[in-house]
Amino acid sequence: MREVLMCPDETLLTAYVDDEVPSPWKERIEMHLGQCERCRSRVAQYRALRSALRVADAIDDSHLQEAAQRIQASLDSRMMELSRAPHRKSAFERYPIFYMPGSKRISVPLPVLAASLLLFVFFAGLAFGFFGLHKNASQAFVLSTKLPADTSANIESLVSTLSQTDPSMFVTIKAPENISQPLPNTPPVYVIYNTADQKPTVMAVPAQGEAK
Amino acid sequence: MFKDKDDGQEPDFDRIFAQNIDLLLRIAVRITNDWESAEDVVQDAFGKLIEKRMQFPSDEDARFWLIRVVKNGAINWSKRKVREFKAYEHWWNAETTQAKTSANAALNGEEQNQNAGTDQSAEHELLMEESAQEVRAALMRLPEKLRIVLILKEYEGMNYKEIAKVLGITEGNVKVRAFRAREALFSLLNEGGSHVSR
Repeated sequence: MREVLMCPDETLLTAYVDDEVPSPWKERIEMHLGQCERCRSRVAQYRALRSALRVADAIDDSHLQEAAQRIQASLDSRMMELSRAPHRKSAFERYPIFYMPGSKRISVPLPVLAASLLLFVFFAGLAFGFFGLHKNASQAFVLSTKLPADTSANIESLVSTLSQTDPSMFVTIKAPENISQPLPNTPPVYVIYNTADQKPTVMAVPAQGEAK
Repeated sequence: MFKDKDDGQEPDFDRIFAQNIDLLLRIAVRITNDWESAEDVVQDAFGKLIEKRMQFPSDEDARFWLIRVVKNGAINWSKRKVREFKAYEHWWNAETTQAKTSANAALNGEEQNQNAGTDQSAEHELLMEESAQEVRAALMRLPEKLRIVLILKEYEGMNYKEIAKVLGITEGNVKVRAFRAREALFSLLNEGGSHVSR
């Protein structure tokens, strides 16, 4: 009975020609080549192509050396320029506080760092009331100092009046602390501070019993 | 990575340059088929190495990096060149055909004159040269992906593992490309009727 030959994959034949097939496959391919005329012919063609490619290689050695010398001369002058220019150290080298030995270096572009710092300052300002809030608070305080110190008699009616105001309004009442004497002939006032338009409204304190 | 010359050792850059300059120039010129551009591409690669003060774990890694940069630079140059000349393609083809016809006529005449007095070895040389030109032309017509594998394998003797590292592909991929490159080269040579073809 005639033995049917199983030819190896064609990529295996080129790999064999390239000496990239390890043992024992290399020996098995060689054994197959001894039996298979078709594969033997293919291998011969790949080898002929290799020879043709090598013959066709037209690189002139003198041209190569001249080119290499020109490149070297050009790079030498560039290296001289670079060695004259001071090496600018990286931020991590200049500010070693940011550099933890053994830690992974992270690189943050300067504009991003600046923007992050600005955002941080802004939100910190918001949190601690640096912007806007203290201004309104002082305004409310200034207005509230117009209230006479001696308003205890009117507190009840004041509260009653305030309870009828719009609940969305923020009301600041501040009695003067540093006024020892009640201001004479000054009508008592209260301040309604509207958070929506951020404008305080100064109103006269209604007389006792006037509020419903 | 660039050590001072005072330490008694060959500076890293000089060593890397000496080890790779010929190889890089050969690869570049085989891709571009133009010495001037090959020189520019290789110089740019080393320039990048100096200016960025590149650091590599080993000389081999430096070599792979340089080959990759040169290969990309040379392929980009070739593509740019193709784009530049695309507008003249029609004119170029017509011109080349005409030039070939007259060159062949001249060559035939010359051959006839020479054959009378030349021996067999000269005839063989001529055939070899014609064949070499065909092979060079066919190689230049291969797609870049296949051509670079053949250049690195056949001319630089790199193994599949090294080629895979340079190209950033798997060894299996290199094996397939090495096969396809040869098959494509065979069909291109068949078109031209070369005696190298199967």
